[in-house]
Amino acid sequence: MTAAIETVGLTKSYGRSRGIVDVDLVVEPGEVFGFLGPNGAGKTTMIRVLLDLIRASGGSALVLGLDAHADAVAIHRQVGYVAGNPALYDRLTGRELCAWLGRLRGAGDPSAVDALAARLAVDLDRPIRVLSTGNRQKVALVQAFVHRPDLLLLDEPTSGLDPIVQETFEEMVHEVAADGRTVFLSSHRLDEVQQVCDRVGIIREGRLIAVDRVDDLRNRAWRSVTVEFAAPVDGAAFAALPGIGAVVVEGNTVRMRAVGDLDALVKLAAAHHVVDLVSEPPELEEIFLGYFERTATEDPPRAD
Amino acid sequence: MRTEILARDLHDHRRSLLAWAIGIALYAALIVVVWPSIRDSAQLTKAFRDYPDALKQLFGGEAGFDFGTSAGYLNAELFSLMYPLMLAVFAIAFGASTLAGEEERGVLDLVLAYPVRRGRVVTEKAVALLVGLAGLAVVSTLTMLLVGLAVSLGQGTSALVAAVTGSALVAAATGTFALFVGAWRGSRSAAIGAAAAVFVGGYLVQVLAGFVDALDPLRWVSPMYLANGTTPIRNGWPLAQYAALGVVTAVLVLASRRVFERRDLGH
Repeated sequence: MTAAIETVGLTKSYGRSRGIVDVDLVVEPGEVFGFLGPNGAGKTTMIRVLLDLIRASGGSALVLGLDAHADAVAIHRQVGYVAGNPALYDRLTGRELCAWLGRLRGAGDPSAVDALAARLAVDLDRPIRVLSTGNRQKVALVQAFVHRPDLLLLDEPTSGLDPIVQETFEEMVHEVAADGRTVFLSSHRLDEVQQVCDRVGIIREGRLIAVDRVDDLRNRAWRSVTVEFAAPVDGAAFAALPGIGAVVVEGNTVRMRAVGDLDALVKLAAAHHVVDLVSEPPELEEIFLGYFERTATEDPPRAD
Repeated sequence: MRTEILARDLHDHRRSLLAWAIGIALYAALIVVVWPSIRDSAQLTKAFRDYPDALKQLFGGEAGFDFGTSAGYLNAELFSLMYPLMLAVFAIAFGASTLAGEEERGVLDLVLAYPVRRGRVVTEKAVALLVGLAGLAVVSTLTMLLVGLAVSLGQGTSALVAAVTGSALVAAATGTFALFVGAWRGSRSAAIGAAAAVFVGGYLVQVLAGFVDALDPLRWVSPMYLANGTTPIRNGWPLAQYAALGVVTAVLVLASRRVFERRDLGH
């Protein structure tokens, strides 16, 4: 089966930063792929290269089996796109915009537009300029999903959406995948990516530094655990446990990083008087650090 | 032929088009309405005749600067500067905003992710500019003809249409130049600045060439000379000059397509 997205050595240089470097990536049909990275890491650049809005400086990109640049128009027939913080024709109402975009595609479907708008609870009869960020985002989602494209390219699609609408969005994404269609979305939020994606690519400073199944990513990631005791305890006993590292003792409080399950940690702590215990999912930055430390040890820098 | 982008552009500019149509028509009507009192004032005519040469050049030169005839009057008051200037301001603003302006706002990101070729987008936007310009020219011409009848202007229709056409063509050339700079650089302000400089520079070259003989050959690079240098309101259609403006406009549209197809869309 043809890959939904296949890039080899894809590079986009912009003088200094914001580009992408040597990205090799295959996204299969029916997958929900999350492109995870901090702002400015190159997520938007990647999506805009795939859409031929900007042109690669090196490497190749196939989208739905077609060349991203040479076959752009054919690709666009089968693609839905939501830009990051999307700009729309503000003076139109959502309905007018969707109708016009439908004509531009040569295949408008007013009843499908209405159904999607109802599902996302957005009023299509108000001018877009008076809509909140979240409602503008919903209009952008409607135009991207409405023609049931084979591939959805979504740049930070849930920014500005309230939690209830985010759930609706997740349902919509899962339905697309159940249809055998593909979703490629970018995000800087790990929890969002964990929620909707099958696989995740982590991008930092333009480089794709890891691609993992979401489950593996979670297992590999550590949790930040803070235990407050009634009296000072010996930090070294915690540091000796398997999977525990970066132990810091401050007064009665012990902070540490835990990989895997917390069973041994909790049992050791239970020998003392526990006042409070907080276990937090890792911040995105911490996961990145985990990958860097790992790649650094596996692949030590050459002496030069 | 698909025309969604052309329709979108004209629809988005409908209020601005209406305002320009009313404004230009009112200005032209005012100039025409005043004609009988100018004609009947011998003193005024003599006063204008005694203007220094440099000042006369600013308003269309010796040949056109004759307030004793309606053609000379209309040339000085409208076609030597104000009328083409108004059309050009409209055309430059349109040409700069329709492509570079939409790119800066980010909406072209949306449009170009749809199955449309970039060249088609540029062509439809250029056509929207030319259609809007033609609309303004037609409305103001009809206004001048009607008001002219009412005040017995005594101006031949063909020569009037020739003068309007020249103004519309110079506006088309500068407007598509703004489109081209916008297509090339992606900056609305750069497009406006460059096109305004071409219009003003061309006007100055034409004025100076009137009394500095060394500048005479340069007149052919002045869009304003091509449009009105032969005083079409008196002398009729300068076909070679108009053809040159038409060719420049067409070349600029093709060049806009080419540069826009080849570069990265700004964000």
